[in-house]
Amino acid sequence: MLRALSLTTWVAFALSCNYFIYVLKKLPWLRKKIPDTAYQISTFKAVLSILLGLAKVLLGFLGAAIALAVFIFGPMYLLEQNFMNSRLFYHYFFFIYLLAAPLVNNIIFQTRDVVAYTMVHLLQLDGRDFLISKVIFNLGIKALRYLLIFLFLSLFLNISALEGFMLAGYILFAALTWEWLILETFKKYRINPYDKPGIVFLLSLLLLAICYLLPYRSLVLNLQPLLTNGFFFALAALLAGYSFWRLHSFDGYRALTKETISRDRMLGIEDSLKNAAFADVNLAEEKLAREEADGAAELEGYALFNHLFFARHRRIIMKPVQTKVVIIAVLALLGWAFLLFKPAYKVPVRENLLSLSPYLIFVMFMLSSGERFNRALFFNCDRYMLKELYYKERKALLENFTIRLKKSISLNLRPAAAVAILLLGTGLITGMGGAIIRLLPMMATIFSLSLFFSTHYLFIYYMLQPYTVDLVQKSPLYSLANIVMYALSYGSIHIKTSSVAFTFAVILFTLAYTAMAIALTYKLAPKTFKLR
Amino acid sequence: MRLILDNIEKSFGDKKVLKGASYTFTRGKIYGLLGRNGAGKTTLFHCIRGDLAYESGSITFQDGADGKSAGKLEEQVGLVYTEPLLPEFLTGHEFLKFFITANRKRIKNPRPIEEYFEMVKFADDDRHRLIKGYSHGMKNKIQLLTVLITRPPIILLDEPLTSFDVVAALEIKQLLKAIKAEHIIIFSTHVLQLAVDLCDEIVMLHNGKLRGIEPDLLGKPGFEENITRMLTEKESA
Repeated sequence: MLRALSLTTWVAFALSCNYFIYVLKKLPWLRKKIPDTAYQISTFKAVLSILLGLAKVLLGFLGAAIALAVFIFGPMYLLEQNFMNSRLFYHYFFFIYLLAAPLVNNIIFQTRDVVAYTMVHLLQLDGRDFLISKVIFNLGIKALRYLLIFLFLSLFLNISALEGFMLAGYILFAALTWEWLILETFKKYRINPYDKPGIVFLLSLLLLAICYLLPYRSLVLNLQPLLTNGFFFALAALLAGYSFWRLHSFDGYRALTKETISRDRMLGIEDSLKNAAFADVNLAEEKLAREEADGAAELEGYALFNHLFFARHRRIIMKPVQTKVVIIAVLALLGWAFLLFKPAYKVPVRENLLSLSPYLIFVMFMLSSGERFNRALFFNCDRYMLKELYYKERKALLENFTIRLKKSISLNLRPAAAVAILLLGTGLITGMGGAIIRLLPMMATIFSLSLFFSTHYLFIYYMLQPYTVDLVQKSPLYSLANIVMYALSYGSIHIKTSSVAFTFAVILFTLAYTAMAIALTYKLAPKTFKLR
Repeated sequence: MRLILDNIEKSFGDKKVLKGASYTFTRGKIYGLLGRNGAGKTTLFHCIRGDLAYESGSITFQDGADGKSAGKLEEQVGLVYTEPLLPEFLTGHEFLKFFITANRKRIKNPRPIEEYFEMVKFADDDRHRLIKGYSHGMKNKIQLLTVLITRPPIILLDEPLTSFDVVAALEIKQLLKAIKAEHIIIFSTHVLQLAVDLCDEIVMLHNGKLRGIEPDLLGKPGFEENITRMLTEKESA
């Protein structure tokens, strides 16, 4: 176990160091100054490992502190304007740290990163040794981190140092117990809850809702006496010990890791063709023939190519779009029902409806499916085709780009239309009457932004092609472009302008951007759109 | 028709892979490019096809008796990869339909798709299955077909026969021999016997340089030992 832990730590550091050097070598002014020998084990790499390790420790503390602030102290302050109510603190702590967090942060079923793939599949490390050592290491570090934080907080809050110790202990115990419970469910029913993230998401949402809604109804569970009771603490420790023993004695890790730590999962990609067409060849052929009959028989060249691509990847491309539309529809129905039952809110909602324009950029940014669309294109199509010169010719690239752009626009128009209907419906319900025409600029903004984000994501994909041929690395510049877009979209919330001027600016910008994107793709993509 | 490589140099970072590779290939012959693992065979192919920029030297394609250079070199080259990369969401038939219609201008005498399949003896049942389910050899046949459809003057084959079964390998060998009169075919391989069986000339890539082997020596006693000795020679200072 110790060997597995030290090996994993070594590989993890080697991978992060190599990636860091790789990123540095991508920077134009450093590219030539860093020799290839930088990848060799050297003092430079040892120092880099230590620095990256320190950064990881600091980021861990920062993350834990932010989590405490967001999930416990923020809500405490909102409710009571102080942090001293220990009953409330224990209430939140119980729901967040002992129920929701261990469920969301499960290690055994959610370990699917590059290190895991390298250790289990490439270096053939025993699945049990790898996962158990990871559980021990991660949970041990987490408990230690929270112990230090709680000891520090005990200087200012109504928590004693002993309580701080117990709280950190409970975090460890709860996590171990949940790991075992989920593994047990898997063993018994062959259900991996993390295969369907919706289940975990809904469960955690339910837990959060109970956690935060109860205090609003003046129901704060009095858990402090129980959680500070030494006997209960010992019982929890025993349960955690038993859980660990059961985790350790499970003999199906080999099969489990084969399923959970796959190359596709590591890369976060989905392949709708997987398991679909080969289990039963006849069925697949019949299905394919049917799909071809759905309009492909008359098509040729890139029109045919893209038609079949989108037809056969419908599930992975359409699913997120449908989910977004459903979420908007549910929100709309809930909101409209609320307004019908509480008519007093109609006037303030109506008066504020027009001032929502600046939020639209961020909303449409969040609703666009660009990143996922690009990944689907690369992993299921372009990585095979970019080796072919005819595929990279200027005319072919532009033809492909425009077909894909149309598809991306048509996909993104669905959530855009849903948002537009949400706003129009709200205008009607709140009694805007004829003044509803004043919402038209917002409608135009929504559709323009939808067009803008569709173009933008596809454009940067063609300009930066972020994925490498071995499917592991991602261009740092592409990540940076996404972060900048997020920051700009978020920052735009603070824009103060009239609805009409805002719409006008958005439309103009979108048109100019789309024209530029098409021109630059034609001019530059033969050089930039390539395998790395 | 000649392909002239003159003093090609190519490095990756600090590692120099091609160190002045020069050779002249002519039409009507199948050349076996022999070299050890990592010798730079694939790199040389990518330089010829224009996928990789090289630091110095020149690659010229001369067509016709006047010795003039033909159009763009990359348009004259077809490359079949060791690891065939094909869009797995298409069936073999759909891929060829796409390929033929997307490259219509390049194809001089297009034939019906089924005829192309017949050329490489591709089984009827497999033509309408997704490429994702194809074996390595089947994918290689499809990739080879793309070259047979466009018939570029220069055909580069990067270890293509290793994935074929005995019967398929024999069929492909016969096919290559049948079309060689109109092409320059360069065939990279580690397998000496394959090179001897199929090729008219053997060119060795060793220490970053190309070196032709006398055709008379092919198959003579001691030939294998000589080749092994040459491929293990250290670079002279």
